Amino acid sequence: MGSTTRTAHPIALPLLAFGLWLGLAHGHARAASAQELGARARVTQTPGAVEEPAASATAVSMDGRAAAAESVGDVLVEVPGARPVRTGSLGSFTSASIRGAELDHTSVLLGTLPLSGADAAAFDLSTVPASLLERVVVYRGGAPVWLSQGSIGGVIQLQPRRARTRELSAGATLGSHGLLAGEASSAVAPAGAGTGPRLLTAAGLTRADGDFELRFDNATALDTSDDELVRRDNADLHQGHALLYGSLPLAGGELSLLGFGFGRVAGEPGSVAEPALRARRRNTRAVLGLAYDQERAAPGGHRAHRLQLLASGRLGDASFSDPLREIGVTARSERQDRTLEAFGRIAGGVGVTPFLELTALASARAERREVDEAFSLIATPASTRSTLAGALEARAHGRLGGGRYELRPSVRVEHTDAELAAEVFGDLTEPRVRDTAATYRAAASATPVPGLTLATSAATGQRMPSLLELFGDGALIAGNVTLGPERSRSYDLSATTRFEAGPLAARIELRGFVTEIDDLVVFVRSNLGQQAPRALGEAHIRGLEAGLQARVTRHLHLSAAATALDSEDALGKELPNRPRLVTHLRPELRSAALGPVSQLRLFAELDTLSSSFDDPSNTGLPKAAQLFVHTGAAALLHGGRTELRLTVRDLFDEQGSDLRGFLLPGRTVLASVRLREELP
Amino acid sequence: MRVSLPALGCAVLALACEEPVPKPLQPAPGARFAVVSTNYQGATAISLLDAEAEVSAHAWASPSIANPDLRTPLAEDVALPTISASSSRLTTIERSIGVITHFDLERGAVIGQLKVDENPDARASYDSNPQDVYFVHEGLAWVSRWAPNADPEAPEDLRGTDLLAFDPSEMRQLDQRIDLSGFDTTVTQQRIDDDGDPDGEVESTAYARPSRLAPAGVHLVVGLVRGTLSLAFSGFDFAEGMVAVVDPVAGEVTDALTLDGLANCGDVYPVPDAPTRVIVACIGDWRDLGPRTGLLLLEVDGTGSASVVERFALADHEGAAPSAQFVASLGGTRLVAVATGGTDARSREEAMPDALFLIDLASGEQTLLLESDGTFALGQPAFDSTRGLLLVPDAGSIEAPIFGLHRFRVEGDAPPTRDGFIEVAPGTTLAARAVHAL
Repeated sequence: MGSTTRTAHPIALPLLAFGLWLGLAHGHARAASAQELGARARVTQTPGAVEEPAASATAVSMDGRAAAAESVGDVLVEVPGARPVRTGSLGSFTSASIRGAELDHTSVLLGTLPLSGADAAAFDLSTVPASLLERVVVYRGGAPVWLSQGSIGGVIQLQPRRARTRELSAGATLGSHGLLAGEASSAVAPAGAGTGPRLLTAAGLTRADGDFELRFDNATALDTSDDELVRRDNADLHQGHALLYGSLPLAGGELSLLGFGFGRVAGEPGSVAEPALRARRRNTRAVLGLAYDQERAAPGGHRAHRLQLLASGRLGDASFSDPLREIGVTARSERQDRTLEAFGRIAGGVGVTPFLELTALASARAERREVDEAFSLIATPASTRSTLAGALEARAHGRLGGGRYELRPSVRVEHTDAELAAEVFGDLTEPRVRDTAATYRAAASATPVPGLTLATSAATGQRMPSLLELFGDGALIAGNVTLGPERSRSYDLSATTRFEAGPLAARIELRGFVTEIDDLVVFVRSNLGQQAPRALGEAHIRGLEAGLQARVTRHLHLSAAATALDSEDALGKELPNRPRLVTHLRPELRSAALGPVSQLRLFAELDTLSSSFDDPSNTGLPKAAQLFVHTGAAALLHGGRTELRLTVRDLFDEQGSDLRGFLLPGRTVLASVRLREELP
Repeated sequence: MRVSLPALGCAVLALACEEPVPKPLQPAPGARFAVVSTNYQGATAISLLDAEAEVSAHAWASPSIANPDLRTPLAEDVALPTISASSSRLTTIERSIGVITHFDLERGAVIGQLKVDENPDARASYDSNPQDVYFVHEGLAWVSRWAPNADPEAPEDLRGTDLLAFDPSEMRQLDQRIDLSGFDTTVTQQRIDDDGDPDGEVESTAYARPSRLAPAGVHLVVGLVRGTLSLAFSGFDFAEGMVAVVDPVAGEVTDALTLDGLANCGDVYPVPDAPTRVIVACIGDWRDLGPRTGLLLLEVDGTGSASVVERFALADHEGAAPSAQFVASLGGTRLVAVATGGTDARSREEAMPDALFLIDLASGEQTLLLESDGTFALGQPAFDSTRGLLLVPDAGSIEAPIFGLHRFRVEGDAPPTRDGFIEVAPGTTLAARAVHAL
């Protein structure tokens, strides 16, 4: 099964031409010598900015990026080990797999506010506009205790934009498939390095038709006589978002308020093979968090202490309407799903000695979920879940010989008490689930010579099945009440180096990892056309990941990432939807100032995914390998006050699919303009 | 570090050239049985057996026969017709997407495909959930469409709850249907409030839901499930069971028979030595197997009227196992049927494994023939009366899956005797779930 061969690919010639262009561009950039915008022409990934040097973490700055209308998923391709998974065009469900783990094995934070619910279902990254973010940090495997949720895959930390200047800005985006978006923001911050109140507000509206073209086979895959070109129907969306992020110096620390709201009304087009024309979805989310942070440095330069008090609330309201049973298995659906969550945590660290810091944190989370289904005869009581967690971490650090070292053992204990309720097979089921589990992590890093860091870590993770997995959503997702908790053990070994030589500056990371998961739950297609969670038993994933961020010359910047995976379940089969090799290459040319043009940037991206199986038995053919080429240009005018961007995604209209049956939109043209005006 | 960027581009290009190559269908003359193996997780394979039930082609057709963009062929919920078109034809019914595929076994080729629930004038999509196909002659076949269309404005050919005619030689839909919605009825359902207390009653439609098709003389017996809509697949409420008798040439209903005290009667099976008789299996309520579970032997006369010859209702046999699934008639009043075991929903412990029983409808005698190691493990058996060969799929247990069929020999009136286990497509890790004579 699944034998493969190599045949000429239709975009071979364009790609070869691109390779030649790369070479020419390289030569041209070396010849260029004009000035650039200093603040923006830098290696965007800053290893020192992550919570812990021993962590397998990569931070991607969102500042000054050249592509138009980027999403969080677009950014994640630059992180080795992370793979965005999409189900269609703009606004479709997007999540991320880290190191081959399932989508719901990754926790998502907004700053330090948990966006993933206590329910631990996969978070839809498409609901957080990338324009609101200052940077994206991905922790693969175990995360430092300050951020850890005990996740199996890792943590994606979305850091919201913070007011750093006094400015007003407004932007608009126009794109293929009826995309029209506008956003405005204001920032107020103390001048220079001063302290004082900061406030950033941003709001935006987006609409899109999502009506990309595709070759529809009428579900008769073996008969091409009835194939036709059609436009994706019922894929429109209207959405809005708002962010408020303010901070105030207080008692030697900082009091901050973070609010984020998001709303979307959209068609639910179903899978491409089985489209739905009338089904709709509505999604509203509001998050509000208040935090107090304080951090002091000791005379020796090390951290004397840090403290965080955090309280947050989250409201979610999602509705799904399938009045004509286009998606539901046997019945129509008018479903409303309301979630209310309160979260609080206290975390602190003390530098006991110049070489030892202790960190402790405690958190509590309470979640209530109500589901109303108009067509159900059984009213479902609310489900509640409360989670208490505590963690301890020791950090030993210092100098040894000519280098630096750091050791971080930690333990995290989480207790969950859930009273769940759902209709299962026509009966009301109300299981009570109580579970206490400890997860552990030990990490060590050493910097034997400046610029080279060697690190290793071992961590355990655990995840209780989500409400979605247990009870489904009444439509696309089938429930499975037999699921138990997943537990994992992960190990990694890494080397990262940073160096500068003349104009050349680079950061290279190389990591190997092994993840073993007991009772792995994967979503597979059920015989009723739904996605259904199934326990595959024991599975393991081994992999290598490599990343490069380089400024080759002042005018040529290079970003590359590659992840190789080897996965296997208990029956010796490859885990579904795990490409063995994923690569990303992104050269970017940056010009010198030329008249009113402060800088011109040209970039190209090559993203490749090797083939992968869709079904756990590996019986079908593997999905064909895919190669996407994206390109674009950005012009910064008037000292950066005006930004123009033009991007063509999937230049050669490869289209392809990601999760099974969900086609990607193919060639997409995006143009955006952003105006900034600094305030006095 | 010096890297040749053009070389890097070419390396990436080489990776992108990796294209999966479909596995071509092979000629398979002489096949007499087709085995459906599936994991219910997106993969189904059809294997072929010869007249003595030796495997002639493991996974002859599987999802690897093509690699289309939109979906995997033979991915899910694949059924075969109760009666095959001929021994040189294989027909698959992909229920969840409403597609019938006709294969030529001798040439190893696809004759054609037909989607039976598509009309460009429809304002909404419709999933018909086709259950069975009956071939009348070279230019006419009927497909039973289980699901009613929820759109009241749907075009007539998309209304469902019917038999739809098509031309199997061209795999083309014909402008003819037998509407069975006249056999819809109502049931009283209980509303439950969020405290778990009764909250009034509602009258709900129990749709006719035609399922399996079996010939009886020149007529065709259609099993009608008569179940409500339900958000949970197993949460249907059922009206009393019914069968309809149709004239497949004229395209008319000739009779309908209500099966008092029995429910969920969608499965009908031919009787080998009695061409005017059929077995009707009434599974009963999924949530409470037993009270309305039973098996019937029906006779259809030349005018298309049906009558009950024998009746085996579980309610009349205290302590009998609810064996009314996956039936194969052995001729006369004898048949084999599966009693599906149970699994505790939370612990996943298999409380009672599946069992295969020999049942004599005349005497009501129920004899245990085989006990599987697991639940939901035994599948649709097939019986070849000319060779006395009975084949029973078995998936084993979750902990110890097996891949294949039990072979039984049937001689005279003696109980079938087990004659070994035939491994079918074990390398696919897909469990055999049904076997059909071609």
